[in-house]
Amino acid sequence: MQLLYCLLLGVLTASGIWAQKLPRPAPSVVTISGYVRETGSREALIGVNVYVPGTSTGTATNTYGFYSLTLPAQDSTRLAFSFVGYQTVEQTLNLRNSQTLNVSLLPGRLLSEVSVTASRTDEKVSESSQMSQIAIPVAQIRKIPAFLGEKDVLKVLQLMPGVQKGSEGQTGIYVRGGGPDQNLIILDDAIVYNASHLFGFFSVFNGDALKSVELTKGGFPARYGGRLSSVIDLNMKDGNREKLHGEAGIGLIASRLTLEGPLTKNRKGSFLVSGRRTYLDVVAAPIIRAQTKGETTAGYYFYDLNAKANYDLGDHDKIYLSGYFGRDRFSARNNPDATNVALGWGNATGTLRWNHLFNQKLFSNLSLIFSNYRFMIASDQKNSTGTDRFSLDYNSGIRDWSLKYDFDYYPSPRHSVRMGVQGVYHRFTPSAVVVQNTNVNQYRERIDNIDVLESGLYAEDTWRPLGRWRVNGGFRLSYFRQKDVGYLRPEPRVSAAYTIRPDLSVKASYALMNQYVHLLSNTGIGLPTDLWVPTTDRVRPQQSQQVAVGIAKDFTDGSRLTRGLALTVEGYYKTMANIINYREGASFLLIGDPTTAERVRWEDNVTAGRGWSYGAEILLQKKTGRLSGWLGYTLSWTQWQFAELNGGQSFYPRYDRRHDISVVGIYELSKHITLSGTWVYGTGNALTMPVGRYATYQPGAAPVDNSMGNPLMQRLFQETRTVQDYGKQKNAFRAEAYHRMDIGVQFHKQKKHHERTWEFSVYNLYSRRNPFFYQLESVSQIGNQPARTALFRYSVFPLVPAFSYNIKF
Amino acid sequence: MKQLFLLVLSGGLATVLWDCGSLRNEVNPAFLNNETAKVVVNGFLSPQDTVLAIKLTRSQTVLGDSVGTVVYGDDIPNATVTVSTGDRSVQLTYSARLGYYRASVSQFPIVAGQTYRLVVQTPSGYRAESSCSIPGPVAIETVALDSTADTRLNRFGARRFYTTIRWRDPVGIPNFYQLRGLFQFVGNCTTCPEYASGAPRLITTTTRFDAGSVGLTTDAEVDGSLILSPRAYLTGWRNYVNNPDGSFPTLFKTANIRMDLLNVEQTYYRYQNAIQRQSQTGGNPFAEPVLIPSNIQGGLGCFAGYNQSSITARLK
Repeated sequence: MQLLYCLLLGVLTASGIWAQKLPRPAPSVVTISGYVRETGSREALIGVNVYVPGTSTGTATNTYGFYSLTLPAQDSTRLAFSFVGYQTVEQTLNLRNSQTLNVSLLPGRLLSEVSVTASRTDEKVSESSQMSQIAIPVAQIRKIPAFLGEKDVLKVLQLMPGVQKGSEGQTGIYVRGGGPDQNLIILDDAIVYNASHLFGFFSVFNGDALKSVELTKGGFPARYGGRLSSVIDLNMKDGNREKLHGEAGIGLIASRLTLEGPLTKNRKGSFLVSGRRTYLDVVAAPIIRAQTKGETTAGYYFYDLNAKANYDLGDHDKIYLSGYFGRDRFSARNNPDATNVALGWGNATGTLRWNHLFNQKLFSNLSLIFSNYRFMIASDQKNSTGTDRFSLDYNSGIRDWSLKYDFDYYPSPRHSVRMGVQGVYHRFTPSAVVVQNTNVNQYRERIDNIDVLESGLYAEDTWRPLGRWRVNGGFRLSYFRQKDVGYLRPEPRVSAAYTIRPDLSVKASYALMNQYVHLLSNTGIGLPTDLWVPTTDRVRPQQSQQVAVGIAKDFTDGSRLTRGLALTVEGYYKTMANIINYREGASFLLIGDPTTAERVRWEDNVTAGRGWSYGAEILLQKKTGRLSGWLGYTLSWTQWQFAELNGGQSFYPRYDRRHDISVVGIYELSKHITLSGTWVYGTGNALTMPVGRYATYQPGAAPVDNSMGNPLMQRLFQETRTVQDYGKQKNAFRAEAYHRMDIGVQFHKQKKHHERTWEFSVYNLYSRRNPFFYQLESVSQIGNQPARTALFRYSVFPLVPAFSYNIKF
Repeated sequence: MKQLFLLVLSGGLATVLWDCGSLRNEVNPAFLNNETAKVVVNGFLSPQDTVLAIKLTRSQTVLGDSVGTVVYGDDIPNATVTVSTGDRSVQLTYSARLGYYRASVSQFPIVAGQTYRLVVQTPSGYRAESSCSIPGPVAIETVALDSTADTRLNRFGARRFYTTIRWRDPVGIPNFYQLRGLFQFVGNCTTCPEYASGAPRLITTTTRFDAGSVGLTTDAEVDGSLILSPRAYLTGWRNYVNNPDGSFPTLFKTANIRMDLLNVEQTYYRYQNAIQRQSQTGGNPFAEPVLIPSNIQGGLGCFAGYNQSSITARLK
C-alpha cells in the first residue's frame, strides 16, 4: 500500500514539476483554469458547467469551485459558465497563452433554482456520461413542504425514483434494494454514521448550512467506496467573504440561526456558524409534570451545530476547517422511587482540508477527517442516603480518523483524471455495559474495542474519445485489515454514454462495490440502537455488483407543454453478497446480555446471506418555467436469501416495494408567493405477522428411578410452550399501501434590512392513516363471550399543519 | 395578499379541527392472511421409550383466538394415527385421560437406525405426514460437579453449582444433542415450612442452562472429539438450606444428579431451538421474528427420533 502511495505521489509531483520547468515552445494548446464563485458572497460553486458553446468541449468545477480546461491555441474563443439557478456568463478570450480566469456568477432567483438536475450541472441529462446521479439544489429543498416545517434533505431525496423511505416520517434511505447501512453519507468528506434526530423523524442535516447535496445510486465513480448502494455527498457552505449575513427561522418545534461572513479584513477567508435546537423539552415538561402531579419530569431535545472556516494562504493554497456536532437526549426522572433514565446519541465530525494547486492542470486536496458516533443509555436508582442502589450504563459507538489525498488532473480536453488514496482508522465499541447494585458489586461486560484499518486507492478518467461517446472508467483497490484478517479487493467501475441525437443518449454502467462495516438493525428506521460492526474473521465484507442501462432525453424544443422537460429511464440489476442480518430471535438487547454467564460475541447473533434487486425507474422533470417539479416512478423487486432465515428460502425484505410514485410540483404564483405540493405512493412493507398459535412439547421425560421419582415428570407431554405460527414465509404479510399529500405556501417580502418569509404547510393533507406498525390485540366482547383477537393498525401522523417564520439579512 | 394569508390560516385551523380521529384503527380481518387451523404433531420416538406416543392438537388461528390466553393444546381425539417402518405398522389409539395417542412398544419396538413414517388422517379430511430416523446411542463418559460466581443481577457473588458431562462424539456424521438433568437433594434447612411436618424429604428439580439455552448443542467444529456439555445448573435448592453461601457438602445431606444425553435428529434440534429462541424474545418488538420450522407435511410441529443415554451420580 505504501509503495503504491509513493508511486502515485511521485508520478503526480513529477508531472507538476515537468509541466512547470520544461522549456516551452509556442504552445499548440493552452490551459484556462480558475475558480467560479457566486457574485456577492464569493461562495465557491460546485459543478458549474464550463464549456465552449456549440461544441462538446467542456468540464465542470470540482468540489472547491476549481476548473481547468485545455484548448487549442487560437486568437479568440468564447467560454461559457453556466450553473443551475445562476445567470450564464460568456467570456471571449485570447487563447495564445495559458491563463487564470476566475469568474463570478450572479444568482438568478427565478431562472431555474426550482429545478432538479439529473446531474451535477445544468447541462442536459443527455450530455453527461454519468447516470443514476441526482443533485438537488438546496434552494429547492427549502420550497418543498416539510413535516412540521423542518426542511429535510434526506426526505427530499426519498422523493426521487430508486430511493425509498422506510416507515412513516422516517429519514431512512433505501436505494435500489439496499439497506440504510449501505449508504455512504458524507458531510465535507466525513462519514456521518447516524443521520437521524428524534428516532429517525428528522435528519441531522441543517439545510441552512448546506451548499450542495448529491446522490449517486449506481455507476459509482471510483473515488467513492465503502458502501454498496449509494453515496450521499453533502458539502457545507464556505461562508460569505464580502460581508456579514445571517438567516434565522422559528418553527413549531425548532429554531435556527446561521451567521456567515468574512474572516479577516482582507477577505481572504470566511466563516459560517449554524445552529438549530428543538424546544420539545420546554413545551412538554410542564405538561408531564402536571399530568403526573409532579412525580415525573421528562424531556427530549436535539440540537446541532455546523461550523466552517476557510482561508486563502495564497494563489495556490487554501485551507478549510469544518465541523458538525449534534446530540439527541431524552431524560426522565421519577421522584417517588428516585429513578433516572437517560438516552443520548449523536455524531461529531471534523474536517481539515488543504487545497494545493501544483499548476493549472493539477489540483490536489489533502484532508484530515474525524468522525465519531456515540449512543448511551444510563439508568440509576438512589437510596435514601443518595447513594446508588442500582445503576446501569450502556455505551456503543464508532470513531474514525481518516487521511485522504485526492488529485484532479486535466491533461487534455478529452481527459479529466481523478486519483487519490484514503486510509481510515476505525475504532468500534460494539457494547459496554456496567451494572452496579446495592452490594457495591460491580458487573462489567465490555466487548473490547475493535480497531481496524480501511483504505482505498483509486484512479478514474472521464474520457471523451469521440463526439458521440463519453466514458468514465475507473478502478479502486480497497483494503481492509483487522488483526490477522485482511482483504484486498479490486473494484472496477465504468459508465458510458452514447449520444444518438443531440437531445437523446443511451447510457450504461457497471460498478463493483465492497463494504467493510456493517450495521446491525432490527428496524431499519435509524434508531440509535442500531449498531455498527466491522468485518471480522467470521463476518466477511459485503459486496455488490450493479449493472444499469438507461436513456436520457431532453425536450429542448417542441410545444410549450413539453419544452424544458427532461426524461430519464433506467433499468438496473444488482446483486449483494455477504449482507448480514440478525439471526432469528436476536436483537441488540440480547448482545452482551448481563444475565448471561458466558460472553456473547456479536457475531453469534448475526447471519450472512445474499440479496438481489432489479427494477426500472422513470424520472420526468420540468426544469424551467413558473411551474416546475418532477414525477418519479419506480417498479422494483428485492429478495434476500439467508441459510439461517426463513428455512433457507428466499424472501422479500421488509422494504421491498413493488411500486413507488412521487409527484413534486412548485409554482411561482408571483414574486412574493410560492406554492408547492407533493404526493407519494408506495406499496406496503413486507412484514412478518402471526397467523396462529399452537402448543409445542418436549419429548416425554424418561422414566425416573423410584428413588428420584417426581410424579409430574413421568407424564408425557406435560411441558408445553405456546408459539406463534408466522406462516410458511417470512415477511408474507403486506402492509397497506402508503400514500400522502403535502402542500405548502410561502410568502416572501423584502423589507428594508432583511427578507422575511412566512411559510404554512400541511403534512398529510387528506389525513391518510398510513401504517407505522401493526399489532394483534385482545378485544373484550359484550356478555359472556370470550375476548377476541383483532389486528390494529397504528399510525403516527394524521394531518399535521405547521408554520414557520424565516428572515434573511 | 392579506386575504390569502388569512385564508391559509383559517383553512389550516379548520382542517386540524376536522381531523381528530384515532391513530389506532382495527383492520378488516380479511386483510390478514386467511389461514385456517392446522394439525399440530408432536411425536418423539426413542428406543428407550416405554410407550409409543404422539400428541395431536389443532392450532388456533390468530383472529379466532384471544392473544391474552395460553394455548394448552386443543386435542384432536378422533384422528387415525399410524406409525410404520418397512412392512410393519401400528395404529395408535387416543387416550382421553392422558391426552395423546399411544401404542405399546412391545408391539412395535423402536430401533436405532430405522426410519419410521407417520400418517395422520382426520375425519374432516386433513392429512399430515412425516418421517424420522432413530440416531445411534452415545454413551456418557464422565459427570462432574463445579461452581462459579453468580454474575446475575441480583445475586452478585453467590455460588452457582452446576454439572457437566463428557461424551465421545461419533466421528464423520453431524450430530445434535439435547441435555436434561434431574437434581435430587435433601436440604439442611431446619426452618423451611416443608420440614415442619416431619423429617426431611427428597426434593427433585430439573437443571437449567445459561440464559438463551435449553441444553441443545451440536458437534459443529468438534466432530469426533470428546465433547464437554453446557453447564447444567442445580436449581431450586436455595430455600431448603440454612446458609446458601456455604460449601456444597455443608449444604446438602444427600445430593444426586441424573443427566440424560439425547442424541437427536436435526429436525428436533431446529424445532426445539426455534421454540426456545422465539420464547426468548419475550415479545420484544425489535427482535427478529423466529419462524418455527416443521417437518410435518400438511401440518405443523415435529416428528423426530432420538436415542437417550443416562448417568446417575452422587454429588459431594
